[in-house]
Amino acid sequence: MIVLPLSIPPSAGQTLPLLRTVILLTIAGAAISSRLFSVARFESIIHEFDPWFNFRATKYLVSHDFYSFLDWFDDRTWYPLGRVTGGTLYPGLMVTSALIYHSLKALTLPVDIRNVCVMLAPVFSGLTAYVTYLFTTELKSDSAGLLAAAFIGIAPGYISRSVAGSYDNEAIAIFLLMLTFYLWIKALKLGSSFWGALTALFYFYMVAAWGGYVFITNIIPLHALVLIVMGRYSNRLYVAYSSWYSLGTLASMQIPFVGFLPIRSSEHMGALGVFGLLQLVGFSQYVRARLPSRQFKVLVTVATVGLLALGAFAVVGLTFAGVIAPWTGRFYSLWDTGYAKIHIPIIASVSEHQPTAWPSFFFDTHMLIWLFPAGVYLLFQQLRDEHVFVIIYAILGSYFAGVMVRLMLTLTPVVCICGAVALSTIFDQYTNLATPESTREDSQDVKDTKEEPSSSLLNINALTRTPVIGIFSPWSRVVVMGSFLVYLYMFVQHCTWVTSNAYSSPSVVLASQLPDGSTHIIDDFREAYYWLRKNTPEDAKIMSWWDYGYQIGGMADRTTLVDNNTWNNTHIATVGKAMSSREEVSYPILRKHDVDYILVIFGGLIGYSGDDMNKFLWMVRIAEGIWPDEVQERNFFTPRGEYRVDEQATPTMRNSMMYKMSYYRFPDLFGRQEARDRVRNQRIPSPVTDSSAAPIQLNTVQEAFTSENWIVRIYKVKDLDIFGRDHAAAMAFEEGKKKGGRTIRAPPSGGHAKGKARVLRV
Amino acid sequence: MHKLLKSSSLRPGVIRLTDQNFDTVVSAPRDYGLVVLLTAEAPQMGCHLCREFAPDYNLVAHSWHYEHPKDGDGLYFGVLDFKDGQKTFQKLQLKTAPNLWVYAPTLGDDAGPVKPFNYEIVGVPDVAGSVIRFIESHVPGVQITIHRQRDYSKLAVPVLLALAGLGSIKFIYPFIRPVIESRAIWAGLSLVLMLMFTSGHMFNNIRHTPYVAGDRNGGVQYIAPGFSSQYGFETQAIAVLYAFLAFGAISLATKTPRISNRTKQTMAIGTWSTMILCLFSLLLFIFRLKNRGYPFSLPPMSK
Repeated sequence: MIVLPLSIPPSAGQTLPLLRTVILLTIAGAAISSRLFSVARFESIIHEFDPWFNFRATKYLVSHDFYSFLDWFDDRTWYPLGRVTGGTLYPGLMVTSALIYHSLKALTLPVDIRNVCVMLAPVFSGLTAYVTYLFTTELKSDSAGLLAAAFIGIAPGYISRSVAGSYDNEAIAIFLLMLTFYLWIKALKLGSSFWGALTALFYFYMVAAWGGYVFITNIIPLHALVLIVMGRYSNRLYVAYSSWYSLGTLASMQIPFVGFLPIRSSEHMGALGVFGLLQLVGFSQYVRARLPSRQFKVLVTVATVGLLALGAFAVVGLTFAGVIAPWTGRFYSLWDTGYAKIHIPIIASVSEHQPTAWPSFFFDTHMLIWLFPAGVYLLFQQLRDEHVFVIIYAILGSYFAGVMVRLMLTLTPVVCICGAVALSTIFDQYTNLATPESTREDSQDVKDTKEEPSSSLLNINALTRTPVIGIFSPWSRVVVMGSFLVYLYMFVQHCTWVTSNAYSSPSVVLASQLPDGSTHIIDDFREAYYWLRKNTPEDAKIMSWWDYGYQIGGMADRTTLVDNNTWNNTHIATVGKAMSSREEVSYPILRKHDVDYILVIFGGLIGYSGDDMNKFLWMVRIAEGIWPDEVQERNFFTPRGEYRVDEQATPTMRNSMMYKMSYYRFPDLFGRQEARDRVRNQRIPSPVTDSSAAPIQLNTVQEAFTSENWIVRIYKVKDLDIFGRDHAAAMAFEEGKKKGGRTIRAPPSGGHAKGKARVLRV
Repeated sequence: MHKLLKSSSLRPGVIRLTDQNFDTVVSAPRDYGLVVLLTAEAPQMGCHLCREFAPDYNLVAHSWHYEHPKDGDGLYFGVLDFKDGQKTFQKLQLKTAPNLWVYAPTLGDDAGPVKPFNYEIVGVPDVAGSVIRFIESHVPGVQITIHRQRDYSKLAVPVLLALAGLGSIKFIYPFIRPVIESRAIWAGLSLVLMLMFTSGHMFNNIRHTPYVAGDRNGGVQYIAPGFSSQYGFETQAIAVLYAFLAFGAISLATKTPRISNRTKQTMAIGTWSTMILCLFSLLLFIFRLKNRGYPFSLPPMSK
């Protein structure tokens, strides 16, 4: 399907409209269908963490009206604080799905809102392919546009965030990003305020949809600034920028979450500054054109520079006075890369905020990553205004992608575009069937070839001035075209393989291979969440690490203490402290927060590495940030600086709630064999194999549920003892009675199949 | 104590302690708290940690001095350098430096012990903050907020340079103008930046990855095993690889079709195509080293 656009002779310049439509539809079809692996393999299910919140918010929006959605105060998260959800989210995604849902309903097509949410990202990726086609066509030609559309349709860097079920802001944001960029280029080319207003309109949509809109807010002014510095100021630029900035800023302030940020925070000051600069430059150009004498021109220049300096001083002064907020931590950490690690551990703890190693770049874009510089070089040859834009985007995009893995997403479109420009230039040259006449020993040519080394690739302008001769030998054509077609074929293979293997797991449901090769579905998360839904009171408060907050809210419909929104660091640190302290310390915290159940994720049995014991150090670190005297990271490491959970684990580690809840009764599973944690590959102390080890005892909580593969373990927090004893004493008393042989120990509820554990092969 | 603060201050707010005065200031009835850094900052001592720790200590001392400029208000900061206090070091049987000791006041309502508290100097991210917390927890009634000293002399140099630069632009502009306006230079700069970023330079920068590492047999390992790790050499090799591949693509796209000699053109196209094939194959080979399960490869180096 992807090879199709290549069969058109690009030299024709204008492809037939019908053919073009068919190709674009095919590309959209390929883009959508390649994102359906997870639906085909598992089911139509919302993935991961954040999408569960978006899904829950969408359901709320569908069942209420728009204004009550904006006023939504959610008392079922961040207990007991609650969250002003309506004012702290980007509503674009939910509104989009609600609109689709209602219009389908109006067309008498009743669709479940869940399916709308699951399929939203693939459908929008089809639209992204189309917009990328438009964008690239503006840069070069139709054929380059079709190639770029095909690339973006299947590039893994974009698929990673837009498979079916990954119902996140990025699902529509990349489409909006590319559309806004396209409209901006169009507005700049035509100098039209109509296109400028359209840019502003979709900029508004983007602001409503994703926090990454700041990228647009800064790259367009940067583009305008670079054009001014290059001496390319024009009335077109003035009209396009002014109409975009004034309308776009006013519109973006309508989003409750954004509010007055556009005039009060440093991220937006660049756009404002360039707006002011443009007015000054525009004014001085106007005056210059009408003033005859030289003195006046000097005056105008001096006045312009003076006003600029004044404006800069005003911004700096207002920042110091506190009127303009300095850069937010998230944004600042992109420039000062060590900042987040020290000051905002919550941001540093997220795996998608880690820097990117080179294999990820190759993994996500394959051959395009080396065609990318070639494409940028070709853009330098012509260097029209829109090419400057793409060059800026390319440099900034690669920087950001290098600093943070998740920003591979914003880099991928420009990689696809530049790759398509490079490749289509090659195809243009080698499919042009006009063979030059063989003019071998011509004296003119000898002179030309002499010049060739000097007019090397470094001399861009001279190179373009030399006329294109064409390709002499048909074998040259075959070799070049053949090899690049093979590379393209490999690209398609690579994309399919990556999508299928790496990016199509819902992470709510896991798949593993049994020894006989058949797939085994591990569904522990949903099992546990449904257990919570069915067996706990509706107002039960569940404490877990923040990663699982959205899932508990979405699937179990229970109140959580912290979730993935991470707006309150102290509250998260409280949970971290409760998890990393001794039982006696934790219990008062649990009581104060009305916690009924604690949920921990434990992968030691089947080798699920994303479990809480592996995230434990972040809980400790975040708690240490608030209570440095009570929680200390050093105490969780052995004297030799190792992170151990076996018999060498430090007492602090062994007495922490998290350790106890993870390994409680774990050795019992292994009978007389040694108990081995398959994630950390360490032996858990067990009374059976090691006589000095005492079994883990939990006094203040009791095991309520453990899922089939032990991934999710839920503990119920005990009430205060009815006789006023502390829990340890009460437990000891019970134990004593049991020794007398009178009580029968109640079996733990929640049927986990003992000894039948399967091994997850990942 | 005040006198000492005035007379023998190392820098504002920090008392320079010596063998002569050390015993007097730490002697038992104290109505003040005292923080002492026992260090060896002289370059010949080669104490790397001492010099690393000093700025944070000075920041804390300065912050206190900033809020209590006159008389220290019951908390003093001192430095005993090894060159001033060898005897004291011997007497205290100190074999290592730096040490940070906090003497709590022994008089007053919540009097502390005569002996000092030892702050363990370890690599925490926020050193000054942890020192402050340590002091606050051991000297009652003390609260320190960080005031960073602005070093205006450091600021002055760039400002002057910038002004000088601006002034000289008028004169040197005719000379640098061709450089500024050269497309090739900007293109080269952009490509170098992009190649650096896409080959994982920022990862090295943030994680401080080693250039190469030793393997188990005592040899040198150039390529880090594992998908999400890398070495410095490896990223440079990848950047060069990308550069050559891009160069090949550019040549095929723009240069070879302009060669007007038939044989030369055919030769050039053949060379570039072969180079791209070989390098791409090498790239895939390296990628397979990193990612064992990766199934695709290209001829010359397909295993």
